Amino acid sequence: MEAAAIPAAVAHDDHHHGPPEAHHSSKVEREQLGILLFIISELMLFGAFFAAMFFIRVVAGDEWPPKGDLPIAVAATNAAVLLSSSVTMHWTDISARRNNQFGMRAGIITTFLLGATFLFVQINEYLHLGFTPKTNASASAFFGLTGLHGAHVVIGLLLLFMSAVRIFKGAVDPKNLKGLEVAGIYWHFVDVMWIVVFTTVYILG
Amino acid sequence: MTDGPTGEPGNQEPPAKQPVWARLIAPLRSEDAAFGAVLRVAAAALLVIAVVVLVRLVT
Repeated sequence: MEAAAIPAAVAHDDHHHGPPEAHHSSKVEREQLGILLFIISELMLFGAFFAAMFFIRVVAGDEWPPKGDLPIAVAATNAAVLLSSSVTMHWTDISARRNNQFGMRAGIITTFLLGATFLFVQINEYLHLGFTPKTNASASAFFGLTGLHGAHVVIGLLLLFMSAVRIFKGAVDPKNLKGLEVAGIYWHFVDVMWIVVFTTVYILG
Repeated sequence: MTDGPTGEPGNQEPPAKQPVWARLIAPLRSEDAAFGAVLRVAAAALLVIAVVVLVRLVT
């Protein structure tokens, strides 16, 4: 969105003169800076888990997977579900920019339901894997990485729920969609991370 | 009043190239850009999966 890229000093030029507000950069909006720093820290967190998984797989030499095969088809379907939720999230954002109330409401509800479906399937997969984090180090790394992602889905669902409440209260319109946009950026980040986790753990692993 | 050069179009300077760090964080600047990143990562993953499947079929 073009408006999001406009520096705060330019965007608010019509009513604010003089030096920037306290604790407020004139070059980047607070919401953008916040989500930027947050996602960079999240990337480092995921990076640590990936590093642990690769290290354990190479060094420990455990049998992998410990029992049977990983349910690749289920995980791939789950990836498709999460990818679809990114599409509906984008639809929600476009609808918000066009002040399309139906699009916003249908989009955010569909996104939430797809996210909840992903989480349900993931938990169901855990229950039927046939091994636990205690089985061996590789299994611990598997549960650690996919569990970390699952925790992010839970946080994403909370953000989506809060966005849905704001949408249904009529608090989101083309002039007030920064909150929805930040939730969308976070949700897309969660989706990207699952694609990376799925490819490395289920396909390359 | 414009800030840029007002000479002939052929003499205008090309737009400044974004620094690497700015291009790296570009997907985080807007929901549109983030969605574009999702599509690009998904396309790259599909490519990797296709290669892996082909290699497993051959070997």
